[in-house]
Amino acid sequence: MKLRTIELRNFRGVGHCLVNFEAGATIIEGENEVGKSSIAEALRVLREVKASSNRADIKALQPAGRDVGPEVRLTMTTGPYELTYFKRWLRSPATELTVTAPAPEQHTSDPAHERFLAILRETIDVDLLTELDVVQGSSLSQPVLARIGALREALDRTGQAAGSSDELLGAINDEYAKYFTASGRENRAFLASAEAVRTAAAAVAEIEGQLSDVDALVAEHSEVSRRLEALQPQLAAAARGCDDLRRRDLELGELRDRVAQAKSSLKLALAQQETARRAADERRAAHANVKHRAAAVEAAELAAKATSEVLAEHEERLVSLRDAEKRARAARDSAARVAKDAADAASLVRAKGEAQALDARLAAIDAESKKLQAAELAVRDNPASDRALQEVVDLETTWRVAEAALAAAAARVSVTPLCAKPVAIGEATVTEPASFELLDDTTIEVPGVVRVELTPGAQPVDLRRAQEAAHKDLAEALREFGVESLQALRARVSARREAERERDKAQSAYEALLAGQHLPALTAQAADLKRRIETLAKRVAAQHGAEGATGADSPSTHTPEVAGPPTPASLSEAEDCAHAAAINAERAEQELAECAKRVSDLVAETDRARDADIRANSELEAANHELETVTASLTTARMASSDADLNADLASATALAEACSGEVDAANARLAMENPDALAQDLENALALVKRRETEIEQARNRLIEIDALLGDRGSRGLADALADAQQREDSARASHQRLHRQAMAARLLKETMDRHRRLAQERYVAPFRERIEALGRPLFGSDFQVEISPELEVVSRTVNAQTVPFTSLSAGAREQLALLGRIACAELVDPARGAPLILDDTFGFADPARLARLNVILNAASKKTQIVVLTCQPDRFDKLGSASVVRLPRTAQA
Amino acid sequence: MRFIATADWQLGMTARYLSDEARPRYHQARLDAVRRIGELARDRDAAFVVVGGDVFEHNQLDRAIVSRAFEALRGFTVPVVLVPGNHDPLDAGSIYRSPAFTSACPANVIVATGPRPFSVVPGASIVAAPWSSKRPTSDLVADALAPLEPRPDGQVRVLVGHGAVASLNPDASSLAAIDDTALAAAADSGVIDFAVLGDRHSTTQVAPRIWYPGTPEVTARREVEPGNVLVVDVDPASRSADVEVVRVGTWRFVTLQRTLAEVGDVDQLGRDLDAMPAKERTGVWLALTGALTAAAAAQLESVIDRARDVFARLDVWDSHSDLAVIPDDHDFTDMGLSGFADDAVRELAALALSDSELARTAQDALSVLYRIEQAQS
Repeated sequence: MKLRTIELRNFRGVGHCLVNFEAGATIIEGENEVGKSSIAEALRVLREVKASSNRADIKALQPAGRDVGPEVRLTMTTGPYELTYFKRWLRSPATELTVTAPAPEQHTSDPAHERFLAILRETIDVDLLTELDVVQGSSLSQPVLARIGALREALDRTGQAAGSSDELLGAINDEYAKYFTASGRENRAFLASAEAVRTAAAAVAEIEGQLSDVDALVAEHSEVSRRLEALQPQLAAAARGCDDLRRRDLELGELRDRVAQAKSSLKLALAQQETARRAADERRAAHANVKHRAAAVEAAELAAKATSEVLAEHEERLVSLRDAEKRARAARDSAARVAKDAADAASLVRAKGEAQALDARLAAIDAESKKLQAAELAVRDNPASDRALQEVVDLETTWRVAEAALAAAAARVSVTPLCAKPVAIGEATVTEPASFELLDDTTIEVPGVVRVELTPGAQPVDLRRAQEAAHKDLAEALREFGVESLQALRARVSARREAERERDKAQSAYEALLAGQHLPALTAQAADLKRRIETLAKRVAAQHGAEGATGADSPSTHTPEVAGPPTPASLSEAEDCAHAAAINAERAEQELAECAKRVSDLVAETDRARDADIRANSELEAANHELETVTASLTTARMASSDADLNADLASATALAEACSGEVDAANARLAMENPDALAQDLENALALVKRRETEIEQARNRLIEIDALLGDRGSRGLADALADAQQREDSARASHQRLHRQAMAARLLKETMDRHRRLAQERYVAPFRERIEALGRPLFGSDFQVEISPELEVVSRTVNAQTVPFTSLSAGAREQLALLGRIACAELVDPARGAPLILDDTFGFADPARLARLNVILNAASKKTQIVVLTCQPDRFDKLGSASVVRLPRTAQA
Repeated sequence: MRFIATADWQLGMTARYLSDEARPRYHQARLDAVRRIGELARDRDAAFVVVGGDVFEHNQLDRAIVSRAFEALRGFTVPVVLVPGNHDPLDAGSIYRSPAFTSACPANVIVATGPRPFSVVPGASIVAAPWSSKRPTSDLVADALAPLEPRPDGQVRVLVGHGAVASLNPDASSLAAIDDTALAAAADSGVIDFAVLGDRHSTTQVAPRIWYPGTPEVTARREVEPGNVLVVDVDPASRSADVEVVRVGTWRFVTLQRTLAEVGDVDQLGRDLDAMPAKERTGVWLALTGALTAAAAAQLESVIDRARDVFARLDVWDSHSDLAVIPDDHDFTDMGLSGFADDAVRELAALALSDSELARTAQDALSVLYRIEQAQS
């Protein structure tokens, strides 16, 4: 395949551009964005994308801001064909194919597209076309050369026609994929098939299990039926054995009756014996009782005697003790009287003292009271208090002010005697110059010389009136206090103050004397005291009188120390006497109390002795009565049956009981000889056996009923049919699985064999590929350059200077160069008739200048067999590519 | 005295090996055979019918089969004596004891429950040896005959039993085997006139008076002479017994053995199959041996596929077949394989012809390859 020309119109940034390709190397230079890459892209989309496509990447081909259809026109030769292929996208889409050789053809639209692809497929390897096209930026990645059939063919030394191996392998893989996953495991359908077999087998086993249960039930039914048949005679035998034992048991009944009778007689005899023994015992008890009672009477008599003696002694002591008490009481009374008299005497002395003091106090009070009354009277008669004085002083001041005001308004007369002659002014006579206000008609006269009658003119009325009113008020006030002048009033006020002081003094003294008490109370108190003194005086006088009489008649013999004292001279003396008498009286009182207590104790004791005596006599009486009763009872009993009779009865009853006991033993011995316990056990066992057999029969019958029911149920399930169905399904699943398995094994063997041979073949054709790359690379990397190539024809590692480095660890430049070498090797190895152009878009960006030079040499060599198209914006990269033709894309090519 | 002797009806039997479509028909065919037996009894003026065991395939069948059997038996104009066999023993779970059976049993149907002789029609009595369990521990026929005296003059006495006779029993030690020598002696001495036995599905004469009528409709591939009943005539006076074998079955199970070596053999097999009658009632087991090329094998596959559609059953009987697929150069050269693919095919071809246990798989792999190639071209 050789490209001839390509023409772009309205394609990305390119408005129009026509490029001619050389048969060898063509370098298309241009600055960035002038559309170099668009040429490579145009070649791809022309081939791959229909004109009708509306894809985003196609839309992106449209020049920015212009609603025009991108166009590509390509002329080329491939195989025997010479053709021109045109496409326009987006606006008025169109596809045109014009074939000029070997025979003219003309196609449009989709048929043109299809025909173009068919021609490509017919003449070249499309994979090769793709892999030899190095898109900008992808130069570092290795081409997937192994999938290029043309290359494999070229490498395959067997040299036979390859035909449709790829399709065949694809079909084999498809067959394999029917049974296995990509990782070689059984796939879902295959596993499901095996699972279906297991499920079907499980279903069969389940039903077989149920059928086997039925068989077990049938077998059990048969077994239980047999057992039931065997049980019937066993039950009959057990029942017979039971009857025999019952009969024997009846025969033993007589012996048992005899034993029972003997036991009954023995019981009766023992009862009689017991009665007789009780009668004899009672008689013995009666004798003992009589004896016991007689002894009791004796003891009671002794006790009664003792108590009466004790009582008599107590009563005697009580009489003497009561006399002593009487004496003590008399002594106490006498001492009390003496003490009282002494106290009275002392009281009298004390009362008299008190009466005297009280009288003196009352007299002082009376005196002060009189003083107080006088002072109060004086105060009452003199109303001129300090306040009244102040009021009058105020009135006088008012008057004086009014007077002064009047005087100020009056005419002033000054009289100056000029000689020694007196001048009478009014009633006054002056010899010295004088002056006055003319307020009233006034006569000035020098006797004898002259008389001057002065009459005041009209004075101001209100002043006069005020003066008069003030004067009147003052006069009234003074009159009220009964004085003529203020002076007099002041004297009276002083007198009142004096009287008040006197009154207050008398009041204080009076109250001090009262000391908070009221006068009537004090007066009453004084009266009381007087009465008391009189009473006490009378009593003391009477005492002295009586004392004198007593002492005369019967002088005291018992208490001479408490004899009445003489009338005391003083209060302290009297009180001492009274105190002594009181102590004597108290002592006498104590003696009396002690004596009284002794009497009381002895009385209680005597009472107790009396009670004991009464009780002893009662007991003696009761004992006598009991003795009489039991004696009478014994006598009566003896009359009914004598003591001897009773003893005889007991002896005969005892003998009878012994005889009956012997009979019981004998009857028991006879019964024991027949071994009744063993018989009873046998009978019990026989009865239990019958019951057991009956139960077993019952159980067997019930079990048969159960089994019948179960079998009835199972029978209605149609298990045999279900089993047949399940077995059929299992057979079917198994056969199906076997077929599947066989097919799967066949597919796997086929695929594995094919794959293995393919790998072997790949390994074989790896060698020439490697040799070619190494030959191409030696100028670049050195004479010892070696590569390792995988069966997929990828460079695995590079060895230079005995150093092996994995491809992925190589520098970007080395990787790019190796990838290019792979492509060139591929292009060279492929049959030239089926070859495709090597398109390098912006490559060798990673190469140093030395390597670039050598790469140019390599490309130059390759261009002899392979059309090479280099798109670059850096022409110097390829300026050593000797045979290349250079096309410069000018800026004007841009839209 | 004429009667019909039959056995091994195996009603309710399900033939797993038949196709889904054929099984119901086959099931029905057994009931239809019973109907034909009734018609035969009527047509031949037989006095009664005896069935020597295995009337039913199993005791645990869906009880619907009882109703269907009764429907067929109601067409009988004569008494039918059913004797339980090993498939339908008279045990606790017996189908004969099921309510479905006891509540609807037609009057002319008699189930033999014990060995005591009973009169079935005037002048004829039956001695039955029914199975009461699946595994009897004695010769039930001998047990039934033991207490019997020679039958009265003018009477016909027929023994009906089930099981393998000792002379034909592969399990010689079986306790339940029927002592056919003793049985023949009893027949000769006049204790019985004729013995009808079930269990063997191929019509078989054990002795002049001892017969297995066989199943009236084939049940298995191995049966030699199935599908028959016996019309038996016994003269009470002379005690002569005439037996006529009458076919009532409509189904056939056939084994075709072929050795195939080339496409021509395959074509012949196809023609043979085409020529077979009543295909819908025929089961075919193909026992194929030989070796075929992949192309011939593919041809065989298509012949079998076609036949499978019309026969009640048709398949290769794997255990009796040994057919190799041999890679033929022509088969694969036509594919235009080259390089490694060709190498791979050669390796598989060699393996296919080897004694390796993978030979069969290799043959299959080549067949797959052949098929893929055919599909592609």
